[in-house]
Formats: sequence, C-alpha cells, structure tokens
Amino acid sequence: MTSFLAMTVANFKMIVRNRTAMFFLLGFPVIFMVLFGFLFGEGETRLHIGIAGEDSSPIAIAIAEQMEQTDGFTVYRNDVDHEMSAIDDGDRLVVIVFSEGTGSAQLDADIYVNQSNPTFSQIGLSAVEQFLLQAEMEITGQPRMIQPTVADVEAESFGFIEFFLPGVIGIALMTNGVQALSSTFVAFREKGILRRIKGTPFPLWQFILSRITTQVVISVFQIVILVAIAIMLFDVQISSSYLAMAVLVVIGAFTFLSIGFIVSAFAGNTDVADAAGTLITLPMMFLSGVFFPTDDAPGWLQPIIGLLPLTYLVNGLRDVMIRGAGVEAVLLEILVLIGTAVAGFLISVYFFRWESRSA
Amino acid sequence: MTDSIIDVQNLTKRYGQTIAVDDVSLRVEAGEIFGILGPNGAGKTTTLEMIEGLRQPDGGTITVAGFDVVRDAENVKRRIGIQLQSTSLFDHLTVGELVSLFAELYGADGSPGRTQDLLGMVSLTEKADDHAQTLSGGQQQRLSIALALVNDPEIVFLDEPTTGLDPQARRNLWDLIRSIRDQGKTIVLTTHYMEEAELLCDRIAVMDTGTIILCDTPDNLIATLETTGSISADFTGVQPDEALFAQLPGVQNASLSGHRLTLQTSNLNQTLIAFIETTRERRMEFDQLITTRPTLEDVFLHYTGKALRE
Ligand SMILES: Nc1ncnc2c1ncn2[C@@H]1O[C@H](COP(=O)(O)OP(=O)(O)O)[C@@H](O)[C@H]1O
Ligand SMILES: [Mg+2]
Repeated sequence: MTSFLAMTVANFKMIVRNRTAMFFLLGFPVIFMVLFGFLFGEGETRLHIGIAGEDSSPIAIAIAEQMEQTDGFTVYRNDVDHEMSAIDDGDRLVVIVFSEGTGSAQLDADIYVNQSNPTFSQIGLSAVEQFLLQAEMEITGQPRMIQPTVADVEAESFGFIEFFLPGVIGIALMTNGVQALSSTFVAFREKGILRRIKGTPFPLWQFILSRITTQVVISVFQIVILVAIAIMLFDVQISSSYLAMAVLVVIGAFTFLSIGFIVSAFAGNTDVADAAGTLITLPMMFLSGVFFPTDDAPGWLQPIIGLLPLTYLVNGLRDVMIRGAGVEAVLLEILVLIGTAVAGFLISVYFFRWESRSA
Repeated sequence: MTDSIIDVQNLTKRYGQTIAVDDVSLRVEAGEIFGILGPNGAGKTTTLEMIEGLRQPDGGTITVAGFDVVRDAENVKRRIGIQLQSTSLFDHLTVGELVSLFAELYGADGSPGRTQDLLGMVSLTEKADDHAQTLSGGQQQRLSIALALVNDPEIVFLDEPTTGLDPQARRNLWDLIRSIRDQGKTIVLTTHYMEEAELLCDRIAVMDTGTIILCDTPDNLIATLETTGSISADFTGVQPDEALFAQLPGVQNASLSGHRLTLQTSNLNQTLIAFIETTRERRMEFDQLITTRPTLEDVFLHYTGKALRE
C-alpha cells in the first residue's frame, strides 16, 4: 500500500512539474473555452421568438409574417404547447401567445420571456415590444390594440456557451486520457523506465492503476476549474446535481484513459503514439457534436457518430448539465462508456509490452 | 546441489536467426566481483537480464540465491539489485525523490534518513535536490547504483557501469563497486574494458558471439598464455637477418621494420636467452630491448582470433 501511495505521489509530482503537460491540461481547455465563449457566446445576436395562437386573428397573422421578415428575429410558429416546451428547454428567448381579447377588435398577447440570461432577455423583450408597437401601428393604424402581458419563464438558458461547455469538458477528458496518457506511457517504455519497474517487485497492475488514479484526479480538478471559469465569466447555469455530473466526468475519464492504454499498447514509439492519438481524437472532436449539433449530419455519418464514445459523453453531459436530467436519464450513455472502458483495459492488458523490442 | 549464489546451466536465447546466448553455463560465488567481458553484441546484456528475470530464456536453468528465476521471479527480484545498461529515469523528480520512490517500490525504507545514507554511499549527498537529468554521466551511473542498493540486495547486477565515463570517473566507480563488495554483497558486472576486468574483477567470464570461452581469475587467464610474449630490439649496426632469428627456439614469427626486429614467441624465456646468445656470438649491436608479457587482450586475441575492440 505504501508503495502504491509513493508511486501515486510521484506521478502527481511528475505531472504538476511538467509545464508543457500543465499547459495542455489546464491552460489549453480554459483558453479554448474563453476564446470560443467570447467569439460565439456573446456574439449570439439572433433573437429566437416563438409565436402561437396567431390563427385567431388576421392582425396577429400579419404581425407574425412581418416578424419573420425582420432581420434579427428567428421566428418559430407552432401551437402553444410546442412553443412553451421550447422556451422551457431554452430554445426560445421570447414566446408570444395571441388570444382573442375582450373587445371585438382587441387582441391579447401573453409574452413569455426566458429569464435564464437576464441581460439578454431584457434586450429581447424590449425588441419584441418595440416591434409589436410599430407593427400594430402600420397594420391597423391604431395604437395599443394589443394588450401585452409579460411573464417570466425560468427556463434553461441554452446559449452557445452552455452548449459548448459539456463539449469542452468532453474534449479535455479525451485529450487528457488518450493523448497525455499514451504519450507518457510510450515514452516510459522507450526510455526503458518500464523495464526498470519490471525489475522491482512492484506489480504492473498497481503501476497502471497508480497512473490512472493520478490522471483521473487531475481530470476532475481540470473540470472543476473549467466549470468555475464558465460560471464566473459567462454566467453559465448548471441545472443538474453536481453528483450526476461528477459520475459522468469520472466515468468519461476512465473511458478515455482506457483508449489511451490501447494506443500505448500498440504504438511502437512516441511519434506513432502522438499520431495515433490525434487520429483518434480529432475526428471525434468534430463528429461528436462538440461544436455543433450532429442531428443535421448526413445519414451515412450517423452510424459512425453513434460509435464514438465522445458522442455519449457529451450527450450525457448536456442532458445532465443543461437539461437537468438525473443519472437515471443517462444510463445508456453511462453503460456505453463503462463498456468501452472495460473493453479498452482488457485489450491493453492483453497486448501490454514492457519494452520496445521483444524481450 | 550447489553452494554458488548464482548457478546458470545451458542458458540459451534466440532472436529470430540470431543466437544471442548459446548454451551458457556459469557459477558465481557469494562475495565475489564477477565480470562478464566481451565485445559489443557478445550477448552480455542478454545473459545478465535473463539472470535478473527481465528476459525469458529459450532454454536452460537459472538459480539465484536458491530460487529458480523463471518460476520464482518475485523472490529473486527482492534479493537482487539491478542497474540496466540503458535506462533513463522518470523526468521531473529529484535525485532524492527517485531513491525514496524506488525504495518504496521494493517495499523497503524510503525515509529521508535512509535516502541520505544511500546518497552518501554513492557520494551524491549534495545532489539530493537536483533533477536526475542535470547530473553528469558518472553521477547518473552512481545514482542508478544507489537505486540498485535500495533493497539492501544480496546480489548487485551492473551492466557496463563505466562505459562512456572518463578515466577519473571510472576509477571512482571502481572504488564504489569494491566498497559494495566489502559490505558482503556479490557483484556481477559486464564490461568491454580489459583493464577494468583485470583490475576490478575476482573472476572473469570471457564471452564472444553468445558463448563463454573462458572463465577464471584474471591471473589464471593470463597464466594460460604465461609463456607467450614478444621481444623487440633496434639494431644499430648491421641489418639483422629475419630468417636467422625465425629459427630460434619458441619463435612463431619474426618481422623486421627498418632497424627494428620483433619476435613473437610461445616461450619468452627460452627465446630471450637464445636471442642474447645469437647476437653476442655474431657481435650484433642493438639497443631498446623490450619484452612484453601477455595481457587479457592477448588472451582474447588468442582464443577468438580477433581484437576485443575494433
Ligand atoms: N531484444 C532484442 N531483439 C533482437 N535482437 C537482440 C535483442 N537483444 C539483443 N539482441 C541481439 O543479441 C545479440 C547480443 O546482444 P547483447 O546481449 O545486447 O550484447 P552485449 O550486451 O554483449 O553487447 C546481438 O546480436 C543483439 O543484436
Ligand atoms: Mg550490453
């Protein structure tokens, strides 16, 4: 036990003292998120507006059509239930529900505002009110026929950064697992360090477990920092219990470490390991819905997307972090990730090599 | 069946077509410095690492401290200390941290006090807080010897510990190795330096192309060629006649280069007496008479037909 502890402490020292590794571990994902957050997160100027109940009045229809043609608004026209659930999911900033008013010519409009991002909602609401007033004047020549009632909706915000954060977490876990682990392990083998360890009575499985423990702890630490920055800088709201998130993060860390071990088992030297790591992680980064949803990807790509562990991790994290799902709702994702991890470790232990040349 | 601390019988190892180790048998006695001497590619490392349990033999048996290495590697690992021919150590750890870590990996005492003792033994006390990469070649070798001592082993294996070191560092390392032997440990080392084998080792196995040619003390090895040697002299008067000297008793070869005559002989004493008599009878003048006794180099040359270092 003390040997395991000593090895693990040494592993921590090695990682923490390695500036390059620390940059890729902590600096890189943070910079990544901050950069993308400011590029896209704040730049999100389109106002997603839902309209329902407009059929009841020609004026309402005219307003909806005019709104559709206005720059800056993205208008969705569906029935009330559909639009209300869309705003609950954070897909709408404002939903306008028209209904017949008390007076013959009068029109009531209930305006629901997504309050998840107060500043943005404020802008959205005034834009909508401004628009209604003007449209009404143009169409009817009469002011204030519409009686708006504004109501706040405590919906989940779903801006770019909320969409992006689970993806960044996934990428961080993936690179930390696949690339950081395989390149250090292959370097250990290349330098003969593994053979030196083999000469001691310290068992192989403990050596591997010690490295894994270190990496998982570092990954969790990294995710904590990422999430803290996202909350501080971008006002991201995490709707899940942190427990469900932690479960996914830890399992995801194991999954990608196991893939890293497969790479280490097969790669003959660090160059091959790095290339293989990139070959595995890069397509995953783009095909697993980190940057954009993959629902619109071509049909022939869907089965491939469905095979990628990162897809499951990111989907699971999104469900949990922004839709507030519990662990039970992401069981499929968890099972796939655990299955991959177990298969990965079995494969890599079977193909494990102590040295670059045959012994 | 034996009291030897290491007993190797008919050890064989193949790599594809290469027979790296070919039917090697040897015994090492407790408390000695045993050297395996041979040129690069002779099979020294392969032999050593099979004895250490790091490589799987294709045939033969190895017993170390009473344990079968193949079947009981765990027990063997606990009783031996190893230094590999080429290992770099973990980056980003200090010398002291490395010693302490390896002690713990052996289940031994990795406390700061013990770490200090070990570093003192290899004269690296001042380097405790430096990173291993910053050490000189000789210091790195001393560090890996310290790592080979963390578990207070009965036997210490050193694979070419002095290769690449300058003469001073090499001499320091010899002293260190002797001091380890004086603590009652057995040492098995490999080298391709004649001088090192001759001065440091109690017994030497001479190895070439996977086989052990000879195994004895340095003195006995040289004694097998005791009578051989060479005589050379610069003639100051008339040119000597090679053919005349080639007929002297014991002479295997006579050669003349300029005024310098060199005789290779299988019986140095006999040839020397005959040389003196012949030159006196014919009043031939010479100076710079030099006789050379055989070295391990000649032993190697004699048995393998090639020089140790090309
Ligand atoms: N892992 C290996 N794979 C293939 N050939 C090897 C391996 N290790 C050693 N050899 C070959 O076996 C022979 C002996 O090598 P080695 O034991 O390293 O010699 P030495 O230590 O005396 O220089 C050499 O021909 C070498 O190329
Ligand atoms: Mg060697």
